[in-house]
Amino acid sequence: MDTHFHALVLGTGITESIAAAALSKAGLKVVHVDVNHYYGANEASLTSEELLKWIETISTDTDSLSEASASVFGELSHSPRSYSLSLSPSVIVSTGPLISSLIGSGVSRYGGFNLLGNISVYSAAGFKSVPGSKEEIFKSKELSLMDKRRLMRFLTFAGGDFENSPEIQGRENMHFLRFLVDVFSLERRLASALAYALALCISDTELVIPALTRLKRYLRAAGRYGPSPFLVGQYGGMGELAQGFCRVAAVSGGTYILGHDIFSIDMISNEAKSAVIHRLKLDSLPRDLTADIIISSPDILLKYKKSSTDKFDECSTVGLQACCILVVDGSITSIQKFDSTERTIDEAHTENSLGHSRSIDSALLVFPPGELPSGTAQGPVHVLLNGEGTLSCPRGRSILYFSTALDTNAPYDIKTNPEILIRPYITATLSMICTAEFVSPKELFSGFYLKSQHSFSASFQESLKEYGIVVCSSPPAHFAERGDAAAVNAEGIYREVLKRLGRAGSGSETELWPPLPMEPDDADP
Amino acid sequence: MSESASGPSDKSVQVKLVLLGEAAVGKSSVVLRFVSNEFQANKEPTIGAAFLTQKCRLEDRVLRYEIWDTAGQERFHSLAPMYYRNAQAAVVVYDITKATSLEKAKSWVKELQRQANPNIVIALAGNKVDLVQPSSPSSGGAGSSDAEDEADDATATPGEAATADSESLRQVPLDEAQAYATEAGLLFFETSAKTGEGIVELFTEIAKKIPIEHILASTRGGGRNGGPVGRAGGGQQGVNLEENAPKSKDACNC
Ligand SMILES: Cc1cc2nc3c(=O)[nH]c(=O)nc-3n(C[C@H](O)[C@H](O)[C@H](O)COP(=O)(O)OP(=O)(O)OC[C@H]3O[C@@H](n4cnc5c(N)ncnc54)[C@H](O)[C@@H]3O)c2cc1C
Ligand SMILES: Nc1nc2c(ncn2[C@@H]2O[C@H](COP(=O)(O)OP(=O)(O)OP(=O)(O)O)[C@@H](O)[C@H]2O)c(=O)[nH]1
Ligand SMILES: [Mg+2]
Repeated sequence: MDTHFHALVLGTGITESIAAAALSKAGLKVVHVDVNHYYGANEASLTSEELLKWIETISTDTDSLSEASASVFGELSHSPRSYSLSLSPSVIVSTGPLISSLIGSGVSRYGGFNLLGNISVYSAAGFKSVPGSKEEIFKSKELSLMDKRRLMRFLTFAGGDFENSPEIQGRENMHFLRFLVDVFSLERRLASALAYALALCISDTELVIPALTRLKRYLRAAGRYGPSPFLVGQYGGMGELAQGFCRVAAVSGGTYILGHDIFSIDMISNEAKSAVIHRLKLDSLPRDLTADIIISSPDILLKYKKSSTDKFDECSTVGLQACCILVVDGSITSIQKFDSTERTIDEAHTENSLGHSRSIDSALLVFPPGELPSGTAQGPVHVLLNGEGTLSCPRGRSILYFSTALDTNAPYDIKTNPEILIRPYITATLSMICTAEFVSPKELFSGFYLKSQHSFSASFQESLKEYGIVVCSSPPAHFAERGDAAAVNAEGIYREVLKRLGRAGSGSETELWPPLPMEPDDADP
Repeated sequence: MSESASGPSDKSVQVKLVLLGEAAVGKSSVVLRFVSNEFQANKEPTIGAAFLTQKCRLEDRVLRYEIWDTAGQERFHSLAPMYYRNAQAAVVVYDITKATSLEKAKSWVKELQRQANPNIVIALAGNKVDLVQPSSPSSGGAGSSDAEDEADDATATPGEAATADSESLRQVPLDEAQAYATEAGLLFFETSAKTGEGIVELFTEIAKKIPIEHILASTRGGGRNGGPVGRAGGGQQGVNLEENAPKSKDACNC
């Protein structure tokens, strides 16, 4: 095997995997390495066995940078391989850069996708389905005529070119929620549902512009594949997509090495090239690998290149989140409280022609801040439901992913035991939703952990480029944004690497996924 | 038997088939031989695609193989679970002139039994059988039309007509591999991607052993977990990303 490569990609997270696929497709020699035995790194989708091991590893990790803790109760009696449990539960915006990359690369043909079924907001009376379109708002029986009119006015505003509108002027630093109440006279509950269930704010202090920008994208994405703007990837989503991109890279000649520990990464001078190249030593591989460029994330660079650069402390921890992966017994057929005395079929309770309840493939449940009396989370708590239809769990099981953003200076007891924070929301959720047997689902397994990302300052990233180190940003904490952010980041990396290797076309844009040579006149003007 | 005409494709069952085996035993060549037999007539190569498709006619039914090659990801044992996912058939290839390749094949069979769908149909293919046969008119570029006839000839050939010279290249005796395959419950063929010998037979026998009725039943009845290939359409609510036409109301794609 030839051991010199154009690019060494370290870590098989979604960003790294998209970059590896694009670079391999462009004809570069790529070697892609992950110390884990599984693909996907921090975005992996794991079997239940692998997840238990992962939780054990992070809870014993003494590295002060990876604040993490976990606890596990119960067992999964079913075969562990029938689970794909996501470390990065996500929805994908139907018209975003990730979808473009999936289609452009051909990865879309490997994996299946479901349309997100339903978004519901918690209230003491139960989860209420949130109308996502103007049509649904019209039909809603919950809303007064006045509310409907105000809501319509706001959605028309948000879906249009609001950037230079008088409503925004001078209010750029207003909290989004307050903006909705003050400027659009929306009732507080309604404003809250809008902020947390439609604009998907994950913090209660989000400002007007970023929230509106997101909402506009979501409103415009609705209708591409169905009423919801969001898709849920099957087999655990992000981790499966990372595998798909890696396969595309391999098909184009990329070399894959997983499950070998890294002994060292250093720089050596290469006489032939009169340049400095990177050298990687892996456990139980007889030969070293060398590469012109390294592509990796702050986490991995911090871990393996700490000694060689002293400026690595230009690093910050961002996007702290408390998370829980909960597996329950039963397929969820209704996210409305089931009342056996009046068996009404609400919108979310789907029935097929035979009258059998059909399980819900996917749904998003939202606890706005302060709505659950026993809950203490500062911001909203989002719950992503993945049922058997997402093929990420066996029949008769469902997965609920809980997440809530934490302040970096959150109390110590929450940082060491995120269960304290999340447990009340689990109890509330399980008491509200109902299975095919018309009972509340039973908890089979729960894993709690803290998640955070590391980030390098822009100037530090620039200085690393001079050493031939191209940094992948960790995907953001936002569950609807990380896929698109990864695709955008990967495209930047792709262009940077081509430029560094002198491959960039003179001035003209180098497409991330060039169309097949068969159809040369297919290119965009 | 390979199928080139536009058969009743609506009745065709999609079957994912994966290839495994040591490097250079001829995995890609075996697929190419099988697939180009059809594509010669139909000229429909899927350039740049990560899997190849080939129809296979079986009595009243058409079966559409979706054939996945390892793309080299097996070299450092880095095959993704996605590779095995929903595979209904596997061809494990070894090179009859290289004893170690059978050992590798055995470890792949174990891996399949561990990782893959429990009902997977596994076939063992001892490739490069042409190397141990005396040069005969049939070797070197068999036309697709008489591939089947040759295959029939070949099953009777080994051991009978081979000269001492060419047979000495053989490192894996036919009966040893056959005994292993029988014991492990695998289909078994000696093949040559070069001459085409045994190739069509291999894929046809796999097709016969695939529980087609079961696959059809589980897709129709909404049994998604048992469905054939887990991409778009595998689920009732599955979304085909390449479909750009906006849909106003219905999420259902079927
Ligand atoms: C499906 C499959 C399963 C195999 N299982 C084993 C096995 O259990 N034990 C073994 O010694 N050899 C196993 N082998 C064969 C072996 O991994 C290699 O052929 C041989 O070790 C060559 O090593 P290498 O120097 O290329 O290092 P690598 O192949 O890179 O391996 C590095 C280390 O990991 C171990 N290893 C690699 N793959 C596996 C695996 N799937 N399960 C467990 N350990 C593994 C190797 O033994 C070795 O110690 C397996 C091969 C295949 C195809
Ligand atoms: N004589 C002979 N040579 C063969 C046969 N099949 C493959 N080869 C040759 O064996 C070599 C390897 O074949 P490939 O099809 O690339 O093997 P592979 O298993 O796909 O190899 P990797 O992709 O590297 O794992 C090539 O030089 C082929 O021409 C065969 O049936 N007979
Ligand atoms: Mg090959």
